[in-house]
Amino acid sequence: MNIQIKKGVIEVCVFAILSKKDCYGYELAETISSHIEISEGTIYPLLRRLTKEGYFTTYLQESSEGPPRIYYKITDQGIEYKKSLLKDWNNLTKGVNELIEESEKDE
Amino acid sequence: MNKKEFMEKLDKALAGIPKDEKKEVMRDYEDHFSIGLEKGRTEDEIAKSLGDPASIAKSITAEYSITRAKREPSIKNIFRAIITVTGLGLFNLIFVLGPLIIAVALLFVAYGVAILFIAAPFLMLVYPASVSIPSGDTPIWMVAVGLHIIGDILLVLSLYITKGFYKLIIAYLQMNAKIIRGE
Repeated sequence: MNIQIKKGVIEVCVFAILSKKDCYGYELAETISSHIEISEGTIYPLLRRLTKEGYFTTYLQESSEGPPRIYYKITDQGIEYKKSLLKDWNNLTKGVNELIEESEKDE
Repeated sequence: MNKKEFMEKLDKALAGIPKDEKKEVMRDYEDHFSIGLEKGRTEDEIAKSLGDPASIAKSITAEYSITRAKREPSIKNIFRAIITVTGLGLFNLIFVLGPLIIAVALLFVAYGVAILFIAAPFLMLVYPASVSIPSGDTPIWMVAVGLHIIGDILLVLSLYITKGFYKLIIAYLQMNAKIIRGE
């Protein structure tokens, strides 16, 4: 997939997942990877940036095995942003799908 | 690539950011490996799914340099931001540096013209021959004073633009980084 498209898509995925429940980085990478093919390493810079911008907060939680997990939690500001992001996304996919359908009809 | 190789490459490529920031970034990937290994994946598999450490580092350093230029405005920081952002791709060098050079050149010209205009009446007094303007019926001193006033306005305007210009560069870099983030 085109790298630019993928960047935006990953952001949409992260907001979709985190609006449902808090997750740690690995979990997010795993969940997104199970649906679309991504370079999982890009998740962390993205999380860092969105946290800096105030959309997420983080907290530490011990794990039964391995290191304590850094959990990401969506903020009120993040929820607002998610709404507008999903609206943009839905408009975009709807528009693109309509275009594709029309082009297939002509064939 | 195993964990050690991945972490070393990332560490090396993250040279531009401060130690504590770097420690946090390294920790993210360190933890990612630990959790992956617990889940029964091999180091090679995890490294492969993470992607290229050099390009991960590039997007982090570019992001960081922009944040810093915004927080502590200085020529050094803005220059660093330009370097790291353009470092994301040669292609973007043209799109960042091209318009930047043109804009700076235009500003220099504006300053030059402003200073020349401001100096016009003085030049005329000292070297009357140096100011030759087709002035028609208007006395030459009036033209010189007029130029002086235009020069004043131009200078104030240029200073004003220079101030806004800094913000504009940062906004422009940010836009570029957004377009090419993580490439």
